[in-house]
Amino acid sequence: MFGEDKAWARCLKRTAVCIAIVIAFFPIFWLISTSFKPIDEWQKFPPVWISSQPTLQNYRIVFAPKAAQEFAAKQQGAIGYKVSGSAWKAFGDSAVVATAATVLSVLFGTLAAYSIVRFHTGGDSYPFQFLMVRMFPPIAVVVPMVILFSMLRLSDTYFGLILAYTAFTLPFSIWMIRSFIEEVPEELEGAALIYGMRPLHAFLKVTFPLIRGGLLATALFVFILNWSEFLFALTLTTGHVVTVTLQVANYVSASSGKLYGVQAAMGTVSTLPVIFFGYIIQRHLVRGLSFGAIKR
Amino acid sequence: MTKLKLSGISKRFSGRDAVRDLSLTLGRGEFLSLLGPSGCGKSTTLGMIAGFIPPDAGDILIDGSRVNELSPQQRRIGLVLQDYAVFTSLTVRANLSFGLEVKGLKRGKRRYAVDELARQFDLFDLLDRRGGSLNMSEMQRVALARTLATEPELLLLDEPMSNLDAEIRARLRGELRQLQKSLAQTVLYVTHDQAEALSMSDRVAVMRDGEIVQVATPHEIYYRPANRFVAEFIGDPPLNMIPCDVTADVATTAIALPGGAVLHTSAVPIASGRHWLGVRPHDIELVAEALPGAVPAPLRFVENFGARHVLHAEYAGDLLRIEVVPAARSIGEMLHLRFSTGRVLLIDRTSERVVPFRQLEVAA
Amino acid sequence: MGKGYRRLVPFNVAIALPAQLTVLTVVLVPTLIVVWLSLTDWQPTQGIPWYQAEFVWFWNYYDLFHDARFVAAVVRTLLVVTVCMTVEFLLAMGLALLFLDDWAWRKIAVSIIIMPMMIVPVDAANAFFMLFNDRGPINYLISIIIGRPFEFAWLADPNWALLPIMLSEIWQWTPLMFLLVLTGLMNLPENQIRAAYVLGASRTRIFLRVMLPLLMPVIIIALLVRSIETFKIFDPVYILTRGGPGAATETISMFMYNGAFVYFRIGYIAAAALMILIVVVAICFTLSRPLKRHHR
Repeated sequence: MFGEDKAWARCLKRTAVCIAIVIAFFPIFWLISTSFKPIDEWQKFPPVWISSQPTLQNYRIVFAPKAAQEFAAKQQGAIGYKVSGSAWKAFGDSAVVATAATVLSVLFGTLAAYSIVRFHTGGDSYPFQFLMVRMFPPIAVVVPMVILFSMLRLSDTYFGLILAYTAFTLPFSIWMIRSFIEEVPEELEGAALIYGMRPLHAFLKVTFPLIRGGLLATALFVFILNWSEFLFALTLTTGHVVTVTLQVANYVSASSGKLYGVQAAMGTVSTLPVIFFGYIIQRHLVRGLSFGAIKR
Repeated sequence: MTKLKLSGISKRFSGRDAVRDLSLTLGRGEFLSLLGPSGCGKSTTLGMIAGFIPPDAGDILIDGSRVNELSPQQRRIGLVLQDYAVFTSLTVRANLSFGLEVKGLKRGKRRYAVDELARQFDLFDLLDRRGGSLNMSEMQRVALARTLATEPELLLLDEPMSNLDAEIRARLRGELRQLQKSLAQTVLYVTHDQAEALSMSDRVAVMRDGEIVQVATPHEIYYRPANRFVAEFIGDPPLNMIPCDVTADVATTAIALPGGAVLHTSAVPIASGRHWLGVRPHDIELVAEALPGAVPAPLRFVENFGARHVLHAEYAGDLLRIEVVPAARSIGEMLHLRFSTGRVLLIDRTSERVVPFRQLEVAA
Repeated sequence: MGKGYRRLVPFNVAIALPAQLTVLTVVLVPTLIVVWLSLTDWQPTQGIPWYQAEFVWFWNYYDLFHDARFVAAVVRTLLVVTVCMTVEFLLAMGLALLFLDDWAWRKIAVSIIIMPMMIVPVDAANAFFMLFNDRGPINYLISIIIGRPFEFAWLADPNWALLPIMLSEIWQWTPLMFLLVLTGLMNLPENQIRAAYVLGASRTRIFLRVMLPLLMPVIIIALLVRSIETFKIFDPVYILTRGGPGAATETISMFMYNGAFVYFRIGYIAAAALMILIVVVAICFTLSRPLKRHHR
């Protein structure tokens, strides 16, 4: 736009970008690399960048309780720790909770967004009421929620966690889906209404197909949020329900963080779905994280 | 003194010639319009003069020096495009003083200059308004004022009126022309509106398909167009094209019109055969009845423009447009038309060029 | 759209109900409980149900204001927010400007740079935990730079432990700011920039006087959204230091977590929670009015 850059300016720019890329990737690289290191390389100094004897032992410990027990027995004197069960349960629990919460969030969110956009329900400030939910520091709500859940017998249940996750991702759902619906002109539904279709039908037949992509993006986005969530999982459960984030934290606290390889393995695997989905919806990230305010 | 000279400029875009071997000169203080239909290459030419589009060939000279290698900034030009590009997040005052800030003018001098501009362009009330809150015609004034603030060598305007309402446009044409004259600003004005071009310019350059077809004063363009395209493009309502039979002799040329009238003139470089006679709507006279040289044409409908009527009469299988003073007429009435022989255009059917002739007489 | 019977609830309200009810249950009811609890001194260890706890009225608030640890947590959190926001913004803006023009590897570079924000926060914290180990890669790199051995225990030092936490947060979320700012930059009206260019303005002047004012809405939204999320910071603190050593890295969320789940002073923490809630809601209201007008 401003004409060609001088050669040195271009060189400087490229260098800066390269530095940024290295910084962005390095911690992730370290995590993945460490997950393949055998135990003697965990604490070596100078640090081992890429293992010379890569092993899957860490992953075995994470996923196979038998391997974990053997490991515990062997290392009893050296480290002294407690490994909490297999990661399969954590992945299973996370999958269940995240998926269910996502479905509910997108479902309720779509209905509410549709109501807000087409009927102006609740007036101007109604959408901001949901935004406020997101402003609440979760910790402030968690304390009474623990009490409430124990009264409702929802403590440490799947449903309780799903409920909490749904509520706290609704602001994203509503605002994101709202911005998608707003892009579809009302006249399209109006045409259907003239033919005697009921409003919801008109919405389902006309607008819904057009926002399908946006709904999918919102769903994946919400899924990522649910999968990555930590605080609610930590406080609203006491061992029966274990999400992947909890499992990671368990490894760290059980061993004062000394189980580098195993922690790294758990970390790598637990973050894979998020990276995967994140790249799929890359285009929509901006819209989601700015609550629909900023679009490409 | 030549302000701008284009020599053999050409530009190709993805296999298509946008501008072909174009040459043009612009004198200091001159107002020249680049006129043509959409896609004729006028905006591309402007882009090359401004420096945003590098020409494939040819030279661009401003004040005698070649500027092909210079960036738009370095060419000391002023540019106002169709969308005005007013700085929407700055006040009008900030917009106006922008170019002056760039030049390094001190605050006091800047303020004075801005006030002067506000006076010239009637922007006093708007000085503290945000650029984004203005309407189209206000934006246009701000854009013009902002550009003229820097006293550019050459002012380039690309369809600056097309976003404005018709009544505003009419008034603005005169104001812009007056301003240009008072500042002696050299202006290159790109437009597709021939009324604008004719009313404001010192000279008009008509473009078509990447080439300049004719450069002349508005009078010349209107009364002595070079070819059929210019003749039909200029003029509102448009020129009437009447098929005629030409018999070219050694010493005379006879032009036979449908309906019987025959016109004579001296020998002109045209071959015998079917050609066109171009007649402007206001060069057609209504006569009482069948006088020599008059042709009959039944009235089909009337366009009422208030101060004038444009009658559409059927003649030679087509509708002829006749501009007349308003009067009561009935549809279907037979009109008798006579063409103003001094001003008709003889157009060669094959070359499409206008063939000039000395004098035209009606055969008895 | 008559079905022939009188409707109890208008259609548009009915479909917004699921979302509304979820939020009410999970947000409103706990808030009411918090209000109640904040006026008591309930601790689960007292053996009585929470609704029979002894009322201390406003003494909790009094104690809070005089609680050096609480005040420190508040100040510390504000510090973290300020530092993180400033660094994130400056880095993001600088990076975004590098990506304005189109060049060969641009898309790939963007994809890599945004990777950090697609990592589960707990895993990112885990990675940083390992990076800042006293014999880890960071210390190793520093020792190379300064030429002598460097085995600083970052996470055990009360003065410096906050740094890895802030770095983790900055590393993870600068890409988001980058993406938001880049989107804003790419949506800028090119014609205004071109007009400024023709008027002779230098790149710096164009950036400061034309581009930045046009970017303001995007910047404000980005800063707002990120400030609120940073204010709630919890995952990195929990994983890296648990608020320690001592209370040296205790942020507000960590303070409340420790107070409620480690020291079991629920009533007291409820008062803190309510205070934070009120402040957040107040900020929300003052900001929502200009935001609403902008959205119209």
